[in-house]
Amino acid sequence: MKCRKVTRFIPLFAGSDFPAETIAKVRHHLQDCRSCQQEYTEYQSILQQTREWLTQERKDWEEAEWKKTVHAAIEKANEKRSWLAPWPFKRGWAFVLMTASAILLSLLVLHPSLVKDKMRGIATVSADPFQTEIVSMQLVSKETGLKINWFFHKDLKLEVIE
Amino acid sequence: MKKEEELINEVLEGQNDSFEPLLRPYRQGILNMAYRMTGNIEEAKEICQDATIKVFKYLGSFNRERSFKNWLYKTVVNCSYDFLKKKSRYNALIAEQKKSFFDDSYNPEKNYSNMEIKEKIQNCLRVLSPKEKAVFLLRDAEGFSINEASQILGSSSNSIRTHLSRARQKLRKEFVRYSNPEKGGMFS
Ligand SMILES: [Zn+2]
Repeated sequence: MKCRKVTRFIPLFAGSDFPAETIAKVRHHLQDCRSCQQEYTEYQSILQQTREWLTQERKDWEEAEWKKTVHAAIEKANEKRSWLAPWPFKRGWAFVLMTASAILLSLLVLHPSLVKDKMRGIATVSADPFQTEIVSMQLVSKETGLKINWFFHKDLKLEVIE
Repeated sequence: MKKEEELINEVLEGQNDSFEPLLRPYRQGILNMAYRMTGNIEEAKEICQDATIKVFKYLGSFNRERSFKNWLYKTVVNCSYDFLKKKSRYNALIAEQKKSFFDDSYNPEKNYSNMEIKEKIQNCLRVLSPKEKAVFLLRDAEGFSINEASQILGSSSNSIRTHLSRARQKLRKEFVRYSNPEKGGMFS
């Protein structure tokens, strides 16, 4: 093994973090090479001091604070769990529904043609390309022939005319 | 003292009182892990809070054949990563971040050489990447093996070794810079 290769391994070797199969080779080199050996002992001493310091200088909880943290964890975890519990009465579902309808509305207002493609004849959507103040949509029931006209104003006011 | 296995069963059966004794043996370890990841004790407590919420919530999906300790540390490391990400997003000034790192008051009872080591190690922690830091702390502060660290961080042992080696090289740089200040300046 060459010095360059060995020096790459030394930081690991010094902390006994080296795969067993290569240890013999490195050890062999260290016996013969003074500069690598020096680097090795240097790393060993640094690591020893560091590990000692890191294991001695430790923060700790105050008992009351620790207990409070654990209890808060249980409470918060339960709170988060119930947040998406069965609909329709939970906040989670209300939020999901509101977001969905907001997306639908903005689609209608901003891209009426996009919605038109999706609705395939059940609804017709018209919008003046030069003036998108109002978007209208006509829903026709296939069974009863009932027509409903929806008008979406730019300011999101909704008018329904039967 | 009850076995970990039993405590986990009890928590899963709805006995919330068993949750604290389950975490108790590791409480100092996770606090110090988080503290050294962020450099701030209040933030470390916040991270531990997040992690304990997750552990309680997802205990049911924890693979019982694995080590609970490793899983707990994994959760803490992931919460620390999230925290560091958020922090770097909101802390536009890196200099500000560096200033707040380990600004706790030192213990006057400790002798001078101990203070020196503290400074070297803390300087090193400042320059490590989050992953290097996590690997280095798991191995050299918490005493996990390379294999355990690779389980906790979900990387190969080769990747763990690479990061550990890099972290220790940076550590040595700090030690050398400290002993020859004229040799290693700001830009060495
Ligand atoms: Zn050599």
